[in-house]
Amino acid sequence: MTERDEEYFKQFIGLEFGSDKYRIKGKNLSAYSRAIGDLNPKFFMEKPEGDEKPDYSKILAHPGYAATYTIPGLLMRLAEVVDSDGEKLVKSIGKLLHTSQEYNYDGCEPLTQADKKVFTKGKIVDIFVKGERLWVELLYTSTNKEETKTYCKTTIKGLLKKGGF
Amino acid sequence: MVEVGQKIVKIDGPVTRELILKYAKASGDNNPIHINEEFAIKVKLNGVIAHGMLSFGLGARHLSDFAVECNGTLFNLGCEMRGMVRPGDEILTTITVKGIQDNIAEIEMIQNSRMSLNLKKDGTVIKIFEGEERGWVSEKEKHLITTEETAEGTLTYREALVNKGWAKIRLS
Repeated sequence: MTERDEEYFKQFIGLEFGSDKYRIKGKNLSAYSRAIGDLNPKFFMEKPEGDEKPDYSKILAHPGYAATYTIPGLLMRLAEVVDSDGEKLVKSIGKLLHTSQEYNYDGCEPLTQADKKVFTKGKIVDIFVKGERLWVELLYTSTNKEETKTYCKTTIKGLLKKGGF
Repeated sequence: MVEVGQKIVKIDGPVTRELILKYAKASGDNNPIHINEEFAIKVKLNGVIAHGMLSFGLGARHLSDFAVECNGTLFNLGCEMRGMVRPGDEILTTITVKGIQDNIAEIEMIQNSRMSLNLKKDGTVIKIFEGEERGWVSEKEKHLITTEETAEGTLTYREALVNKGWAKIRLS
């Protein structure tokens, strides 16, 4: 295969992928908050003792919870991206490193178990080679199926080490 | 009342393998480098590492708490991931108010991992921690090793940057 130059990667800017579907369950929202030690009743509900069924309807997704419905997409979807000749952008997924993320909830709706599912779409907003590494910036938008509610806008950056692209 | 320069420091941990497993289950991130010791050794990590999103999640919790204290709403948070967290590490999260503009507090969040290496009493090593046993401090991190006097003795540890983060809180 020929060496890919800077110009080659520009074809991927603006490429959209998804949407990926994630199920939202109240017990998972609560378990996430417990794992990060946040027992604020806004985000967490103690499992009742005995046979009593827990009611998770009052809790919201923690601001950190977006990790669960955006980060997996970085790995899964980037590995599937192909160029105009059908060649994969990512040659070795093992060389991919997730380097940063930002969750933006400005103008977004809170997420609860009543929403049931989140649909996340991704878009490559920047891609360039620097220091023998391929840097990729992705923007994910997480909405309901009808796209009438937005839950989170996520920017994720990653890099592919030499040999990975 | 939120003021520019206001700073809070929170300490979490030590991070345990149980916590890493709990986070893997809760987040659905079951990458074997976090939960499978043999696999992590095979890929030359010399043992499992915590999820980057676990340490960030711990920071997100403190940011969320801080927003509540400020009677505000946390609406933006992020971080650059700079280092690894191992089982046994403590995570120090420092939250600093860097500015306030248009009723929005701009926050810096720095997270460091503190890896205990050994504990000495009267010059004699009385405890060796996993970090030292397994040689988890790399050559280039050796200059980050320092000591602290504790009630149990002199603790030698390495403190390194894990996450460089930020957040925005809308004040009401």
